[in-house]
Amino acid sequence: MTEETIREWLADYAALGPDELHTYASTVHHNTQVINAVFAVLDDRVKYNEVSNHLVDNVCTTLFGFYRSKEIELKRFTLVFLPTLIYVYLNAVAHGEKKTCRGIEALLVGLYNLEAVDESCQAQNISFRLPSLAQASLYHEPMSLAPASLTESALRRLEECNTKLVRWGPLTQLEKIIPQNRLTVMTALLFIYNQHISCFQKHSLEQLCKVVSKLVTQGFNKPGKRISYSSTDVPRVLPRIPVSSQLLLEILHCLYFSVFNGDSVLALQAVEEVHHRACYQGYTDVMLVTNAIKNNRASRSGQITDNPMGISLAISPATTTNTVSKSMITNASFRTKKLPGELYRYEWD
Amino acid sequence: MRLFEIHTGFEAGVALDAHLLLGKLHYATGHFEESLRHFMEADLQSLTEKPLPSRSLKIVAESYAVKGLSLEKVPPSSTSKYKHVEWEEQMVRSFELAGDLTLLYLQEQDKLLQQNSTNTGTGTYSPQPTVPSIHMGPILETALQRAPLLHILGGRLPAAVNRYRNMLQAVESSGTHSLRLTLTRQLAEVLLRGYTGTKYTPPNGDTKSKKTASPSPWKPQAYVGPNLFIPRNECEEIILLLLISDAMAGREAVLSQSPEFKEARIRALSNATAVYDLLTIVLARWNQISLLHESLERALKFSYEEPHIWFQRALCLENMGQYGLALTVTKEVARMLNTKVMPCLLAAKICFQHLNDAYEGIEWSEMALQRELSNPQGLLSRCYLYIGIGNHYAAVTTHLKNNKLTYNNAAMEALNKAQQVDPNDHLIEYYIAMICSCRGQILEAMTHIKSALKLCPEHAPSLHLMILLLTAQKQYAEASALLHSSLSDFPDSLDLHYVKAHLELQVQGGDAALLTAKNMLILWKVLHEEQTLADVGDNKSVFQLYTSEMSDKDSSSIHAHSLAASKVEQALSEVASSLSTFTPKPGPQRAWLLQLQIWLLLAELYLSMDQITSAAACIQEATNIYPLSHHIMYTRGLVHEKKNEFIEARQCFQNAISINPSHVKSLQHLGLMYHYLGNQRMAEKTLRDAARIDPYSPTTWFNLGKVLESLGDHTRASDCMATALQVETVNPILPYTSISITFE
Repeated sequence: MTEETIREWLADYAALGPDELHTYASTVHHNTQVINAVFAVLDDRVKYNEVSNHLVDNVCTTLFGFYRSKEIELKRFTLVFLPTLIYVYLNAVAHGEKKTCRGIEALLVGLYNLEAVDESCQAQNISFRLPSLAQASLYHEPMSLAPASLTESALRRLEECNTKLVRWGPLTQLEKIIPQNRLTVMTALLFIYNQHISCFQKHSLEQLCKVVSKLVTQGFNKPGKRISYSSTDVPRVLPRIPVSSQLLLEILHCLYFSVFNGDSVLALQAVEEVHHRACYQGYTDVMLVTNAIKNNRASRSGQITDNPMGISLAISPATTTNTVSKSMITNASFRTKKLPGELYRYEWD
Repeated sequence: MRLFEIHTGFEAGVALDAHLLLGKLHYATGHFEESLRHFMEADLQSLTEKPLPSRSLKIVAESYAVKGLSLEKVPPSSTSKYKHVEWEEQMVRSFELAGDLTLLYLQEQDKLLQQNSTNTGTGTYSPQPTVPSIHMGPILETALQRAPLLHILGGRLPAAVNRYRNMLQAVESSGTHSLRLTLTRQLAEVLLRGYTGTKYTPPNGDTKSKKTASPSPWKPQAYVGPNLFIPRNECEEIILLLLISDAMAGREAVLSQSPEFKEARIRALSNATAVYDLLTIVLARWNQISLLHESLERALKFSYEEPHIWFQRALCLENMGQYGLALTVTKEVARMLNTKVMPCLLAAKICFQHLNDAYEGIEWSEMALQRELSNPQGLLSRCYLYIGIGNHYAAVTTHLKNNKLTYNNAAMEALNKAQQVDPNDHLIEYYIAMICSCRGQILEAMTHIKSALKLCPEHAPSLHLMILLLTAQKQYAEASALLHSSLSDFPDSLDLHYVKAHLELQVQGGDAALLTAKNMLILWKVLHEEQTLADVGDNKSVFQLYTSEMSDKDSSSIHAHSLAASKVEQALSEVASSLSTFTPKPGPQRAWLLQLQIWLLLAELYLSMDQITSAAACIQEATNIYPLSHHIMYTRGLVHEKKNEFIEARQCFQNAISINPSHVKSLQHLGLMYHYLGNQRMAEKTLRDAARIDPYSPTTWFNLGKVLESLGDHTRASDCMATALQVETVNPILPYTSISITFE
């Protein structure tokens, strides 16, 4: 059945003329049958490669074709499968079965190399300025936010604002993936995925959460869950998939988005699992973010449900507290004293 | 009669006010439809946008707000879609107008107030805020926040973002402080959670404000200026918003600790914390931890005993490489969160990895274990592993035979327990293999390193250890085959190149090794030169870095140092830099120290090929980077030794040892120098010291044998020679401890 669907899909796409591509692109995301079939094939690539020759490879070739086309929707269609592809690939490597997924590896390298350069073949890099409160902006003026706006580092950032940019990239094009660059490549690909994440449908975000869950927990004993036993009753322990802190940070960015736009229960579960992995590995930067997400949820769980995106209405407290607030000391209570007018110079005669 | 009243009312110009008031009253009593009828009669929707006195501004604003609120309570009865859209539009428009008018009203109030205060001319100098606190009241505040929310609920994200931006562009007035705190955060949340990536469009503030230089008199005044920072992408906008929010939250934070303000304090703190959390989520991904740390540091003032803020700060510090401070803060966190395992493990890791303090690290690991046992958090195997690592390094650094044995046994015991709990962890196997290697149990070590590699085939430190183990068994062909394949997996690893150079020196002679070392210099240039040029602003001194950054997680460090040695070098360098003309090279010192190691490697290679001048030149290069390293002194000693200048050589080795008393190679050569100079008793003593520190080095035993022979003690001499032969079978080409500590 799945095989059937896939074959039909491959044939359909192959038969398309260049002028039909645009209309095809606009409908492709609604074809849930095909999407599910592709997920199924990727999940069980060994079986499908045995059943029919090179089915997975053909799927990968088509996905690469999609990505290379000028149609943004087709490009996104490929990206929907990216987290799954990354998991399948890393899992195969961890099993020492890299040879069985050459097609997927080639697809990933291809995507990476396409993203490494822009249209004019220049190395692509994304950069932005680090704002400083010392410079007036669309939303504030420095004096009203003093003293936070006038710290030494805020002024330094102001000085460097236009010269010292925060950068992503440039990426160097690759011939092949080796252990040294493997996780860097995966991180870069997930970064691309994150650029488009607001365009994906809810179920692809759900898929993302499930895949992330597997990626970070595989090979670990889950508390309360027994290790799966295969038919021969020998404990079958799956290998762990190595991760890097940068990869986990990129994953957390996806998950944070999914908390509010996908299945929040699944996403939060995955955040919890990433947190545990980060603790296990001692990645402080990842722990920073997982702590922040968890705390953010915990401190305002009461109000979340009814508002979209967890945005909370905060009406300032009623005037009753005003009477006590006279004696309450806040940071704002400390004010610089104004000098009384001008300074006078005394004449000594 | 009623008609008449209305009529006269119109004439008196109070009918409008009366209707608006009635509308509000009806809303308050829950008669929403009545309320709407009054607004209808007042003809509210067709009021022309003309300048109004301050009082009327507020009335109209409130009326629109109430109208919006009433509309919300009375959805259209018909199910027609058109009606529904119309109803929604009307509602949003009411709220938007109410919002604009409110902001305008508050700005006007501020102006009036300023005039008054300048008129009376009595500035107060009390530390208390002089804010007479104009409150907009809950109705208006709700209206302001409701408009964008309705857009979001209706799925019109761009409109919502626009609305937020318009409200925030209005110049702040004293009544809008807390509102703006909320709005900046909300806009950041919307941008972060729904409006990211390709969907994002930047605000076009500048062009817009110019175009509408004299907008409707109902619009609040917006920020203008010649040099405004206008965000060009989402990161810039989100970070800007959060920084503003952070500054305001910090300002509102309550410092009083007395119980009467508890509620206000907690509310202000949670407002601030929400901002920090968002900031964390944005900044960590871009590795801008230091910016986050600034905010957290400011937050300490009002975060007494708040474990979340403290923990986050500790994590920031660790990440920024300020390990000493990170440890201190982590200790506080461990005290505040007295059941949590993670702070203890973090403290232990900092001690092991960066502060070279195995003993304190062991204490923290033990505490982590106790907490884990009484309160399981899924980290049991890690606790045992950390205890094992700590004891291993303690064993390496201690000189007393008994202590070494105790530490080694403790390490083994802990690691075995760890392995029972978590048989699927390659790191545990790696450390078991490491301990076996250091004790000379090569075959056992091989078994364990193989299982480590089975669990994680691409674990670089395991490959490294495996290569050294192969060289210990003198299987040079296998070792170099494995080295070759490892290098094709990790072509940038200076560690592996270092091993390669030594292996080539052993097997193929100096020329091949020299080529490898030269390649290392090229590699260094590719990997690190940019860092040294880019980070000129890195003004940390060389001394702090020497201990900590050599074994940085992403560096390819070459040698692990003992704590004492690096402390002495630090102290000496401080003196030297104050006295002499030595100035540290700019940029991260870690990178420079790697280069130093490469120069010294080259020097040793040249020496082996009898090219003494080249060797001296290499040492000079190394000296330029960092003159007081004991490695340099040792290598300089080798040069003198080569030239048969034994007295000078002895001086050099003595210098090296006075910095690092456990530097085995210096001890070996110093012993030899005493021997050549005829001071046999000193030679024997020095070599015995060396043997105590590392009993598995054949050179030590061989030299000791020679010394004893010249003393005429033939039986003991032959014993030593026998030992030398025996340990030669387990001696790797480079010491096992040259592999830097790893937690990956």
